[in-house]
This record gives sequence, C-alpha cells and structure tokens, in this order.
Amino acid sequence: MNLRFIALLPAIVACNGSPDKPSDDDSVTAPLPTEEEVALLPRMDDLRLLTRLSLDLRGVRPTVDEIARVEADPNAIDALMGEYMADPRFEDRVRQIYAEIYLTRADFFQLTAMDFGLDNEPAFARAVGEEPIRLVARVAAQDRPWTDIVTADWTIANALTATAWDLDYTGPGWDVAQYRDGRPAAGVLATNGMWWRYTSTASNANRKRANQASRVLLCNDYLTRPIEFDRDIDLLDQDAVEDAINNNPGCVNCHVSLDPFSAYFFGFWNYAEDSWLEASTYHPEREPLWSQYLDTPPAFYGQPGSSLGDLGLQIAGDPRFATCAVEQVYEAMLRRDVNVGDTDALTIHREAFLDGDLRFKALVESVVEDPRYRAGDSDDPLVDASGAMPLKMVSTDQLASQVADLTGFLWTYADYEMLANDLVGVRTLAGGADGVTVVRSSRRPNATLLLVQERLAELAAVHAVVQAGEAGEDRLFSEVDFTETPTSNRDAVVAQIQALHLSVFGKRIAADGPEVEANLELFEALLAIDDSVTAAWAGLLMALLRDPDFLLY
Amino acid sequence: MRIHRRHFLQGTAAAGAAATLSLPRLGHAVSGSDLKFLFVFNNGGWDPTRVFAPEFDNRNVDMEASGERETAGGISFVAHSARPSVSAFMQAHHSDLLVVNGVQVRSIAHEICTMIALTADTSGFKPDMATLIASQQGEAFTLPHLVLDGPSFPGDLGTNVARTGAQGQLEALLSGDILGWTDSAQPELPRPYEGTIDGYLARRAAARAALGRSSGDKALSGAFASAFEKATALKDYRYVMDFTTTGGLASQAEVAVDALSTGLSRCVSMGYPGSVGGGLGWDSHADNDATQSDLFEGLFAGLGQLMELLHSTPGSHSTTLAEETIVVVQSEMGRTPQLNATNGKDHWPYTSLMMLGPGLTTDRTVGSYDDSYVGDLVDLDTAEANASGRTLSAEAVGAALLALADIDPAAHIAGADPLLGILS
Repeated sequence: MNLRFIALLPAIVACNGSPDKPSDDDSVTAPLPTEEEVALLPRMDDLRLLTRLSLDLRGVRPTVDEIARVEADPNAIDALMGEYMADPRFEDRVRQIYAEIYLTRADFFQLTAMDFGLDNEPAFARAVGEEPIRLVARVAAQDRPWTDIVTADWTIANALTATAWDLDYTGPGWDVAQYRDGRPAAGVLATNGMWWRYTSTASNANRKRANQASRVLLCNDYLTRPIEFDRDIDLLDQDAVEDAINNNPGCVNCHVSLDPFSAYFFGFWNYAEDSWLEASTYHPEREPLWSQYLDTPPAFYGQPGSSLGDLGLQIAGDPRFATCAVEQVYEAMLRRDVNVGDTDALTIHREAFLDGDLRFKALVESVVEDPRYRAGDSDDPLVDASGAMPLKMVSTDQLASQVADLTGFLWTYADYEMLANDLVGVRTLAGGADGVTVVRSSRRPNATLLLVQERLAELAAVHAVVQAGEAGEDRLFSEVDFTETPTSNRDAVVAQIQALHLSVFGKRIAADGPEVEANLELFEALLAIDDSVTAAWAGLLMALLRDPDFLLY
Repeated sequence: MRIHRRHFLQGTAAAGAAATLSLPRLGHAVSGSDLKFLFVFNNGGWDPTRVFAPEFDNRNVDMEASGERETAGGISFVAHSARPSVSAFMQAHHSDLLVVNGVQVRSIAHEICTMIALTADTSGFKPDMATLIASQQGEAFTLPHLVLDGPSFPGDLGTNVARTGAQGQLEALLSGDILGWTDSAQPELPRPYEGTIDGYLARRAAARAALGRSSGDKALSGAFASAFEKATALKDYRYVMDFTTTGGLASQAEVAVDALSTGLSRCVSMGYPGSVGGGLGWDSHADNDATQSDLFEGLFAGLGQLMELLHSTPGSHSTTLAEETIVVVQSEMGRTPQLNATNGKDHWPYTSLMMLGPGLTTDRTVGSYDDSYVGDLVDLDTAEANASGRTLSAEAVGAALLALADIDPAAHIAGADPLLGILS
C-alpha cells in the first residue's frame, strides 16, 4: 500500500459501509491484489471497450465509422478517447455524472417559473437545478483547472435563468454569464441553483449549506458521523443550545468546523423565503450576519476569511479537494463505491490529476486506463478480487441519451423529459435519483426499470421506423426500404439485422450466425401477426433496445 | 450473523418481565420473517398532545381546553368531540395497539428528522426500515417495497423499491397507457407483439445470464434475468389490482392491502395527508389546534378503514392479513409544548408513534414525557420508564422493527440497541 495515500483510508472505509448489508453494490470483496497483479487482468475486447468509452464519455454508442477505425487499428482507441473528450457531448456526460453527486436536479424549488412571469415550469426547474453542474461540466469540457469550480467569476445560464436572475447573459442557449449583484467569484459556491436546492432556516444558520459544500467538494459529509444527542440540554433555551454547540463534546465534534464554514454563506441569506427578489439576489451587505446567527466568524478549518471568494480559495487549496474529485470520477467510471482495495489505484489517479495540473480530462484519462475499468469478463479470481467491473449498467441519463442518439427519439411529455423527473415522469422507476429522498441511482436492473425500458424502446423504435420511412435514409435502416421480407429478399433483411447489431451493440455478427437466425425468427413471427413490414422492423428494433446488452455494457 | 428476535430476550434479565406484560391479541404464530409491514407517514410533524400524550397535568404543556382524557383498554389518550374517529379507533383496536411516547428524533429540521425517523440515520444515504425489511427477501417479492405516498429512502437498495407515482406512472407503465404520454404522437405497435417479443427476450435474458464468468458479470446479468421475470409477472398484476390511488388514505389502503395479500410486496409505505394534502400538511406553525384536529380525525378515519380491510382480507400464513401485518404510524417530529404567538406550535425533537399487529406487546403505552416535555428514559428491555435507563430514540424503535422482522439490527443501525420491551 502506498503510504502517501494512507490519509485517504478513513474516508474510504466510511464510504464502504457495512460489509454484510444486503446491497445493490456488493461486487467487491477481499483479498486485495497488488497493482502489479491488477495490471495482469484480462482485457475486454476492443469493440466492447470502445462501446464502454463512448457511453461513459459521450453517453452514446460508437458509430459504425468509429468501429471500423478500431477494427482497422486497435490503437485507434487512444485517439478516439481524445476525440470523445473533445466531443460536445462530453460536457453533457460530465453534467450527468455530477448530477448524481450534487443532487440539485430536484423536481421543484421554493420559487417557480410563475413567480418570475415565466410559463415553462419543467424547463425552469431543470435550468435552476442544472446551473451548478453545468458550471462544473464547462470547467471539465474546456479543461480548465479543476479549482475553477470554486473560484470562477462566471456561471452558466440560459434564457430562463437569465430572465429570472440578474445576469449579463447574451446567449443563445446555455452560455457563460456573470451575476451583476456583487457576489464573490466562487464558482458553484456562488450559484443560485446550488442554494435554492439547499436552503436554510434561521436555526439551521446555513449549516446545511456548509455540509453540502463539504460533501460535494471535499467528500466529507458531516451527517454520516455518529451523533450522541444530549437529552439534558434545555431545548427551549436558545442560550443553552448555543452553549452546547460550543462546549458539549458531542456537539463540538462537528460544530467546531461546521459553524465557521457556515458563516461564509450569509450573502445568500433571505428574510422572505417566497420573495423572488430576495432569493435571486446575493446580498453582500448580509455577509456579516454570521455574528447574529452563529456567533462565530467565517473560517475554514482554522483559516479565517471574510467572503465566499475566500472560501473558494481555501477549498481549492485543501488536499481533500483533489482527492475527492479522484474518488468521484473513479466511482462514476467504475460505477461502484470506492473501497480499501482501491487505495493504490486512487493514489495513481491522484498523481495523474496533479501531474495534469488538475485538469479533469487528465484525471478521466487516467481512470479509464485503469485495468479495473478495462477488464474483460473472466473466471480468473483476480477479476473479482481486484474490484474490476467487466460489466456495469447504464444510468438513466445514459439510457435516454443512447436511445435518442440512435433513434432520434427523446421522450418528453408536456415539456417534461420523462426519464428526468418524477412529477409526471418515470425517473426513479427507471432507477434514477430524485436528489431528495432517492439519492443514489440504481446500479442493477429491477422490474420497473425494465418496464420503462420496454415502453421507451417501443416509442423510440416506432419513431425511428417512421422517420426512416419518411426521410428515406437513416442511421439504423440503411439496408432496406421497408418492402423486403425474408421471403422476397432474405439477403437484404439479413444485412439489415447485421447493421442493427452493429449500431445498437457495436458488434459485428455473421450472416449465418445465431443472432441473425434468432432475429429472423422473431421478424417473421411479428410479420405473421399483422403482415406489416414496417411494424415488424419496429418490433425487432424494440426487442434490441430492450436487450440486456443494451442496458449492460 | 442473523439473529432471531427471541434470541435477544433469551438470557437477559428482562426476559421474565417482558413475558409478563400484556399479551398481544393478534396471534403470534407468524414468524418474523413472514411478517408484512405497512408504514403510514405523517409529513410535517404532528402534535402528540392532541391524541397520544394526555399531558393535562403538565403545566408546561398547552393542552386543548375542550380535550379530555379517555381510556381504551390499557391506553390513555386525548379525546375531543371534533375527533370522533380517534375515539372510535382506540376503542375498536386498543387490544392490538401499542403507543410509544417520548421518542427522540434529535433534530428540529423536517428533512433531518424524516431521515432519522425512517432510516435511523442522518445522512439520507441509508435505506429506511421498510426497504431494509423488504430487501431481506427481495427475490421473493415482485415489488418488495411499494411506495404509494410519502417519503422513502431506498439508499443503495433502490432495486427493491417502487413508487406508484403521483400521476399513476406505475399503472400507466403496466397498462401501456404511458405510450400516450408523449409530445410526439405516433402509431403504436400491435398489442400481440408484446407477448412475442417478451418470449424472445426471456430467452435472451437467460442466455446472457449463462454467459457470465466473473461474479460481477453473473450478478448483473442474473439480475437482469430476474428483473425480466418480475416485470413480466408485474404486467399480469394489472389484471388483478389497480395501482392508482386518489391520494387519500382509504384509497391508499385498498392498494396496500392488495399488494400485501397478493404477495406482490412485503412492505408498503403510505402517506398522510399525502399528495392530496400537500407536502408538510401537519406543519402547524399557526393555528395548531384546528390543523391538527382535522388531520388526526382524517388519519384515524383512514386507519379505521385500513384495519377493517386487514381484518377482512385472508392472510397467506394466517386467517386474516391483520394477523401477519405490522402497521407503523409515525411522523418525523413533535411540536413544542406551548403555543406560539400565532396559536401555532413549532418543531420539537420528541414525538410519539403507534404500532399495531402481532409480535408486539399491545394494549399499552410505553415511553412518556417529563415536565419539560422531553422524553423520559426507559429500560429498553422492558420499555418501562427508568430514571437510569436509556433514551427512547427513533433508532431504538427502528432497531426493534428490524428485530421483529428477524433482521439483526446491529448490521444496519450503528450503536443502537433495540427497544426490545415492545416485542412479545
């Protein structure tokens, strides 16, 4: 074990939780192999790796051209990895990853679009919740120093948030903008979206906000610490409560650092929760309110400061800041929690992150080159012992984006993205997190996810076939014009099945292989039901979009 | 190590005392692992002094002028002419009822208290008791934990939890009606396709599961195959039950009882006032008495209907579902002992809850409030007041529920000893 990384252990052990709990994520067990042994893990085949990289870095399946490049030269994967991180969709993927960490994409906030004279409630709520994670994603996509996420003097806005808030937004679409209300340069710490999601009451005095900043930026969640509540404190006596916070050992353990941390956030203090002006505006003149609500001045683990700008710099300078980013990316790419067995790997990726001047892409590149990420399925015991992930499940966001990319169908209803909300949508039924009570997305399939997958697949498949029929050309249906049947033109139907497998699964199948045979059988069975070639193709595509290999990669 | 709840009692000095406490009226023939659970969560923080805590002799507590102490069997409660359903419920069900007073929830923030009350943890990342209990036999149920309303914390056990959805999303998924929920109208595939494609995919799922070689691949592809079977079974449930509720408690009760009696779920979570009544319906910072009174009346009317359904529905291990179902009725916090300037009551870190069902020492109230309306200490093994005892915490109650379900609480709730004295 690398001793330099020993400081990570407490956090990692805390993350790992109880060893015998029934869990959705029980894939990692002892004994622990060395990194030299891990390097010998069997690798997944090139096309599987290409699919994994494409889904993880862009949220979509590789194109046929990309597959051909790798088939011609396996080393093309390295170039493609760089291209994927330069793809505009990389920014979307980073946003999706950090949505699961920041948990700001709530279905509703204290204020609504109507409060600002806007009429698109779902888009407004979505825009508010995405503000901080879009800032994070922009820093990542433009390969700026990671510290920008807590020091930037800009945010990301769209027409809706720019209408609601005082921003110098020019647009169009999502664009960099600056608040004009005198707020400090502090990246996500200075975004309305973050603090609309995490509000405070007078008695809470911004402690929730400080804890969330600590959780997402330092991977230090005060709420995971054991708390011994002293029943002898007179809860009706505010002075007694304050005294306990400052002097009772059970309270001091957290409050000694949490309260000075909380004192930084009073520029976001609102006197009227339902006032759109109050909630939209940063109030520099309220920064000193800590003296009224906390009685402890702003400080970050003993380092004094006066504004969120100071806090951003202090967090950026904390070694836990980089370590936390490494853990977050590692967990996102392997789609499992970190554990003690990952200590050496995390050290390696942290070094790569530091050597890359804290550029996000350097970190991602290091993680996706980890043998655990690239391991193929094997009965070699090292695969299980190392914590390798030869198979993992797409997230709800990835499911939606890969379907949209392949078929052109994005499932919306009344302007709500159906896989991105629970008001009218099916986000948590599909295994997604709502950010409020469902704070972890599922990593294994269940019955309701498969039902969502079924309905999404039907809608998308019909859409794709209808569009292909109307447009005359399509990414998916290049080999048929919807008149051929296995009887009239078997070769065309077989070629189309092969083309579908290549696009949907990134896999070449033989014309006389079992996949073609099974798909032909299904096609003919569907054709026999109502004699519609178009419907039969839609049915076959629907089956492929419901396939385990479409969900697991 | 899994331990049976009886093992907790064996060898403890409290065993004899616990055995002499009032006997449960509902049979105890059902093993803990066969028990079903219904959780009714009351969002916003109820005022226990309006039903569960008759603190008429406590000068620090503002009681209703027209409220009065009433007794039903071994349970003393607050009766009021505006709440006839409370009295009716108590008189009808006291023999199956356990009231727990003075439960500490350690916070006065809704979000944190809700986490503590449901998960015995403050992080929000741990699963709630319903999910833990349901997950213990996750493979045996199609939807192990069904959430009809109210908060639910699945933690990392989300695969065992399903919400029906405020707009009936689950029902729409099952029926296929959700295919019409799209901004881009398009033709639907012929319905007979469904069976043909399902048959193809069943073979695909089985074949994929057989391919796995590492334990991770086997687990994941196996989970897909299992989920596929469950999804197929779930689609058949549309012919025997309707997952749609109006949001009201009686409506939720019907779906809940269907889910338990058909073996669809082991645990069901309900909410009151739920989606109909708004997010924090009990949060009476102003006009406390009218708000609480109306809600308690509605709650107990709905609970009466729920119990009637449980008693009239056959169980899978007993004559009736009531004999094998634990009903837990709780709220995330209590309210201050005294009225504020707007005749409301603010947040308070001690509350009450009630449970009904087999395996509990019923027809009694355990726990109490002191002169400052703080929960008294108890002997966790007997649940009797004891000045040198322990805090009656939400964690201790949660741990007892796990023990009741034959789940080792120590594996899930760090440092919390269960309130064993409520188990028969």
